[in-house]
Amino acid sequence: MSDQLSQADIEAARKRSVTRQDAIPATAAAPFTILMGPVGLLSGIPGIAQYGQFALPPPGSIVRDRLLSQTPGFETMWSAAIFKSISKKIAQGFRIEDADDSQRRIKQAQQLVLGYDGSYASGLQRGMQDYLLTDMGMVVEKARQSSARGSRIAGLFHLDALRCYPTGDPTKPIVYWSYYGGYHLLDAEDVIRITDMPSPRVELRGYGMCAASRAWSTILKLAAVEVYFREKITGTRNLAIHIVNGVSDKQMREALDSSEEMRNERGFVLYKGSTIIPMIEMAATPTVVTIPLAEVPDGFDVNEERTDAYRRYAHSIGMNVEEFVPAPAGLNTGLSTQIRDEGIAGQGMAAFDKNWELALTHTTLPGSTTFYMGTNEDWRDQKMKADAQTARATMLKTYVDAGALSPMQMLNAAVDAGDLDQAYLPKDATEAGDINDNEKLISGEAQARVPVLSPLPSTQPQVQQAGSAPPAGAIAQRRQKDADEAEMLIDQELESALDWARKARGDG
Amino acid sequence: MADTPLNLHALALDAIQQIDFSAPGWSKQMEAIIARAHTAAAMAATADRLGLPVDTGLFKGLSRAERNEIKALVQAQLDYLKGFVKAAPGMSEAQMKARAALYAAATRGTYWKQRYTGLPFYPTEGSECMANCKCSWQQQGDDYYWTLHAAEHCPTCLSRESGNPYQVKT
Repeated sequence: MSDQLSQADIEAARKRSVTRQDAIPATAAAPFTILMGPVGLLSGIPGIAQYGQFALPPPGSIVRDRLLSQTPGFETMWSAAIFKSISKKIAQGFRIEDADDSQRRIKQAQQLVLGYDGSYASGLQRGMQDYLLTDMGMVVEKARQSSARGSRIAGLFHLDALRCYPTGDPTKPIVYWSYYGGYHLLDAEDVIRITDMPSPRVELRGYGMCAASRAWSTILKLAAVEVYFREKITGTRNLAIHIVNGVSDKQMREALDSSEEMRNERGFVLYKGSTIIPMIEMAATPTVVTIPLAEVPDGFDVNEERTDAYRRYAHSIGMNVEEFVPAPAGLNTGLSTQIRDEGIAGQGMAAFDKNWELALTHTTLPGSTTFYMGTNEDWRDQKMKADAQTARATMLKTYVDAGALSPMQMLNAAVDAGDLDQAYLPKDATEAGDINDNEKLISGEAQARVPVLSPLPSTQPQVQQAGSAPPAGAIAQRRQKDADEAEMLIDQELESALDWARKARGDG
Repeated sequence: MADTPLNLHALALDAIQQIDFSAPGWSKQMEAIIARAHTAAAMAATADRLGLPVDTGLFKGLSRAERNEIKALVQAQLDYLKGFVKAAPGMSEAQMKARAALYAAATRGTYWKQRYTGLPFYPTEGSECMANCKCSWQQQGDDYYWTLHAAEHCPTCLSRESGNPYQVKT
């Protein structure tokens, strides 16, 4: 098995899984089956009417995604929150490392990533908007040099999520509808799709729940509040009806003489967004009865509602709340900010980082090359790393002083933890049995190679015995016997093989 | 060096063609030839990769890793041979000779797999031409080129050639 995650391995494993029957194979000849399915064009139409005026269309529909992608235009602070989260990712930068320090590979990988959709910053901004604002997620095409499987990746390109249709077929997961109308069926190894919280439901074909989905009701509420206040201030909409007793309409008009828009309708006056109906009956003193058409509820605190909404935005996107709602000044404010920063480092938008790193490292770049978000220049990261190393060294010294570990074992442990270089070791005396998701097995024993399987045109399939299969122990014994026979043959033919190798190479 | 896999193929084919398929014991002779041919292919490829003659002390005794690799390759071919043996009673001698000859071509796959590790595919595997594949890998620096030789080529081999160059996954 190679160090790069092989789509062929995944497909081979899927053939052993019950999920192989969760989808029909997608073919270029039948795109209509993709578009007419549960997540096709027809599914979104009854959504709004069925679920209410302000509800989203059902999940897994393009109509829903179209609406969600427009939410930055609904409410200013939501738009700012999206801008803030995306710009933070751009500013984070990236770095490329190669285990063999191959400058050529690092340079090629850097060029590939920098050229993402023409420019890394532009590509990532477009992709991340789809990640945050569509349930379909961010889709990136890996354009290859040729149609041969495993051929070199020529470039990475952003695909508009609203033009991508998931097929449900894991080997050909996406159909892309290009601007001038061509449909393109994409192989799994030619596309990266990063979705926020992909649904476990088979029917939803990988649609997830993006930040905009999570924040939808808050966006609507805050947008309504802003619209209400705007209309109240500018008088552009009728917000209440005031019935005034004891004042004639002539008196009312004279009193409310205004150079702004005034419509003189029979019996009532429209003034700065309120309808005023003067009653003919003359009362002793004028009275007013107000019929509100739109107003905030009693006890509504706009500032508190806004603060709550910003917190919800931060949680929906997965950012530190204090970036939107500063904590009140007080003791230990700096420390609490640091703690919150450290806490958020393992969640929220960090999941996007991890997804992007894994997709590029394990399915796009060569085996020894790794992609990291961030440039590792943050002094706080460096300090935290140094603090951790110091703590580890102190702990190990304690064990050595107590006689539980030898100095050589302490050295081994420090190398295993990455605190010291391998060059200090004569030989690794501790087993390293784990690997992080972003690491690759670079050193160590060569992986067992797949044996040569040259299919013979008239090879007969192995004859299956009728009835029950032999017990597992008998199969293992037979395999061992076959292996022993092969080994015996190799020993027996070794000298002759050497002779053939000599002849084939023309040696002496 | 470019002729090594062809020479190995020729040596194995020559040995196979001398088997009397009408006599009992032909399968044992096939087993021996398979073991010899694939071991030779592995050794020759390793020597080519290291740029050393086969007669250095390198191959006096196989290391455990080398032995295990060759054993896996030989085992796979012996498994195919079992199928051949089962089907043999229903075949004519000419058919048996033709089928046996295909085992010689399999050495080319072994050679290239040992010669350049970490490439996405190898001659005689995954293509329509199968054991008849005449393609090879050529190395230029860090780049590897799928090379078509004088023969009629299947679509997969042509497609592989158009994807040049490739890089080794280490």
